[in-house]
Amino acid sequence: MSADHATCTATATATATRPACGLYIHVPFCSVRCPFCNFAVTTAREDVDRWLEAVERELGLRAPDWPQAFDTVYFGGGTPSLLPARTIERLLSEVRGLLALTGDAEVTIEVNPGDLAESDLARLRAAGVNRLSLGVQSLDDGDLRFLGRPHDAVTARETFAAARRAGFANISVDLIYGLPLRARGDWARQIDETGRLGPEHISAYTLTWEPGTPLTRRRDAGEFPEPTEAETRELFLFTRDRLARAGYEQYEVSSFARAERFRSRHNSKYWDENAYLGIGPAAHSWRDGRRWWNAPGVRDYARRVLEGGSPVAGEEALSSDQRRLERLFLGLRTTGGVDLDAFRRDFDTDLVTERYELIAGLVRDGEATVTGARLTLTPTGLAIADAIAVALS
Amino acid sequence: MSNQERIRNFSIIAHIDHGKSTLADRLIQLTHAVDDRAFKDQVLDTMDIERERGITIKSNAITLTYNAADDVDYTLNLIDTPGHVDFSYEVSRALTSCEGVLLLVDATQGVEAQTVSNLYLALEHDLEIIPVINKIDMPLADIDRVKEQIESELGLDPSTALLASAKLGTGVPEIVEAIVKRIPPPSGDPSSPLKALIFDSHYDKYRGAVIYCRVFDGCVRPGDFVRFYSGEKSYDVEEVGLFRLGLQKKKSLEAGEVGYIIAGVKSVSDTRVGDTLTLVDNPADSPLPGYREVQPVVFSSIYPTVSDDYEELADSLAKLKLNDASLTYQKDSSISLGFGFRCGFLGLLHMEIVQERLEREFNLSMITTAPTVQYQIELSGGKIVEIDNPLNFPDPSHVERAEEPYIRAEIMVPDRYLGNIIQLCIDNRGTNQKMNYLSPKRVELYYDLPLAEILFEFYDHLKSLSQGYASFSYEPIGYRATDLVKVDILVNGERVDALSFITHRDGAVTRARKICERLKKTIPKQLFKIPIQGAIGSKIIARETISAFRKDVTAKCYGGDITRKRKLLEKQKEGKRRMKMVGSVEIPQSAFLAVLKTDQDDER
Repeated sequence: MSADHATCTATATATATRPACGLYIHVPFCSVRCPFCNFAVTTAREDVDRWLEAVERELGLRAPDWPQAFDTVYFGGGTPSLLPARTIERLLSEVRGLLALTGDAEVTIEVNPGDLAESDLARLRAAGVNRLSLGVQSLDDGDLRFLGRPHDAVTARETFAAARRAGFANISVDLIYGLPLRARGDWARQIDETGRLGPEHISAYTLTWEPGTPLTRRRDAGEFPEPTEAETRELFLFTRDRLARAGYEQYEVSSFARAERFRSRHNSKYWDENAYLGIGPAAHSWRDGRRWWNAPGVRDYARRVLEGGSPVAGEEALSSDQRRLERLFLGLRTTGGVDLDAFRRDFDTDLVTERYELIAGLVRDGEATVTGARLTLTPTGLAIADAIAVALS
Repeated sequence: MSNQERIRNFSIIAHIDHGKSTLADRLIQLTHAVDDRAFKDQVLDTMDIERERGITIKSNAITLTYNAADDVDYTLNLIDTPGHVDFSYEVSRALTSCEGVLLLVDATQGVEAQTVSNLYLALEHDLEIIPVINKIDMPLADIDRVKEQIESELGLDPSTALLASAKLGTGVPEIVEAIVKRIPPPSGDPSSPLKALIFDSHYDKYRGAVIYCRVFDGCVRPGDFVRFYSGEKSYDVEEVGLFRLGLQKKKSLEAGEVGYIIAGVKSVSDTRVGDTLTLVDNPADSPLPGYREVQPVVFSSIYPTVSDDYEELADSLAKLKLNDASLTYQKDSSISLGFGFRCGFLGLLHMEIVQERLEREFNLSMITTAPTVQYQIELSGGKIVEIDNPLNFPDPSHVERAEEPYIRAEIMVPDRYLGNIIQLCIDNRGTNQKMNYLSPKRVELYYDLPLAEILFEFYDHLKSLSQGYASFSYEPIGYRATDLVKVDILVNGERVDALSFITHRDGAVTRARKICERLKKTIPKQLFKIPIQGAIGSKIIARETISAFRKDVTAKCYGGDITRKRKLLEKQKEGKRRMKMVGSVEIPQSAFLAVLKTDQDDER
């Protein structure tokens, strides 16, 4: 009894100081499947209605259990921009009705170039969407063809301009690098042109060779080589410098912002281990050391929810070792690094003392710094953040 | 015709891959010793490791019955021998049990190094030699050339050579006839006291040691009371018999026969190869010549990769020992590797085989340290200690004098390689004792060499410098004075005791450098730079630096699915658990093995 009471008190106290939560809504529809993608997506648009019904139902089911403040909403996919603007409007209004969305909440939607007209964008803006994540990927048509993207560079520029006219003052652009047989100069031009476009935020990430995707199969068949580790590393460091010159500061492995206020508040929740609620197929949720995820297939997900069952396909309560590993690999991938005081509190060990030799070696070689009770990685350290996290775990 | 007159004891000797196992298989099939349905290739190689590597480790035997052209049933005993210098003593005992050999030469390859060295072994035992040219069905077969070689390089009459294709069975009946006609029958005295030569044994978990022997004189039956010449204990013979497909009981084993004896001997360690078995009540006046107690000459430590596996390693070694009398072991411990065992082996191949069997048959992952010989060191107080483990090497200031084991090597080599081989011997601290021209083109060399030198690359160098033509055998000749140092290897400033080695002072720098280089290649890059140093005491004599890890560029992290990424990293972490941590440096098992590698491996 007294133990229960103690837990309640602790939770209440923690809630008071705890950062607000994030809401993720997974929109699994795509017009085509990209040849490098292994996400939970579908091209079967006839399922949209059932998906919407299920998402609304799930929101209603979850809401009573999430009384905390939410300061981000993220429509991710798939391709949320395939949905009519009124659907986003409707969902957002329901979210506001069900959850304690803060007045300054960051509301992001992923948009593919060419999907939305300026009027649609204006409607989204009016509905309260205040951040766009634009799936540009490249401003080179050759790259876009290679990546199997349905748009071209001109369309990307047009959508960007339309978004500006529609009143979006916070736009993020996605770029992919590390494509086979591209010279460094090709990538430099992409960065510079994107910089001239002037988004507030850039996500620049290396092409990931997911097993089983058409692109990986083509590589395996010898059609083209995968860039070597050394080349990828060099590009990674180059990207950071080039983007810095264009005015974008790296704050996470693949995230760059023109100013601190333009950092992705929603994505930061993942790295900072803040609570988030994921709605829709394949969406992941996290709170208090527990993570669960919904069934990945749209139809399976919808059936589960609409038949009154749970969409949850799996869950895990993290062991202390697992939490420690997550703290390290998530924290180290940000320029904020790992808070050593919090680490000592949460894992009952002084990380620097425990791994002195390794950390001293990293500092000596210029891969890491320890200042103000934070362990942070330098640009070159960031390039191998996962390996360092594994070694420190 | 007496019993002995119907017996032929023979072996097949050949260069590797010249078709020894295939010919043995055909002989076995021709005489219907093994049911066709039960037949599988390499019948005589019973261990997986033998089949896979195509080598023979243990001696083996099989008795075949053959109705010859003269309509007499002959008993043919085929004794299969190991083919490596580590087991040369076993080979010599197995050959002693024969009266003749089939010397197999590949018609496409011709006479090769082992053909020559095997021939010399057979000549040493005064065996009848039947040359067989094999693989005559191959498109590249050049029978005339091989015949010329048989005459010029082996000094044998080429008209006595038989032609065969063991693969197709061509010429095999002629070979069997030749075995009967040309190899002399044994000529022991059945009425003399028992003299049986042990040429191998294996362990049966229900019956104890199964002794493989050749009876030279006398007779042995169940109920006989026997003893080994070298031992004290007496045993009751429970069963004797022949090697058919499996063991076949028999009333007695008589002079000239090859077979097995089961006599309640608990362990193969009590049955020493080369020893003579005789009757307690009616002993022979002298043992058969040539017995030598086989002593381990190479020592190395084995540690489990994961220290939890120590008990399992102990169990596994005990089980291996049941069937491998020449393996010795005792407990050992190291700072870097924890608890393990110090083992003694006949040579490097023996060491490798033990290691492989532990891994394969007992599913153990382990680390083996560099092989060492046994040194005798006189301390300042006059006390003499035997050191076969670098961990126990005394402080140099306390060493009065040191001695190391020497061997006398007998090397036969075509004269065109003579210069190379002499240089090799000199480089390995050899001193020349004698040199004879056996023929205008063939030289016999005797060199005294430190055993430690031939442990590492000597044999490989000898073979490559003579393009495989040099034959090599050696015998121990005792201890001689030497100047030893212990070299430590430091990884990131920390001494890895399991990598320390003892060496002659003159070779210390070269070997330390080589080991540092190899470690640099095998220790995976870590997250920071790591110096690798070789040191005598506090003096650094070699140094390499492993540059820092610069791979695995961190990938994008997908949304909230942190679990997927964590699992990926957990898997990486699991991979690292198989490495040994020295300080914060991960040293993989392969790094410890790299120290054992030869130069030739480096070039590959």
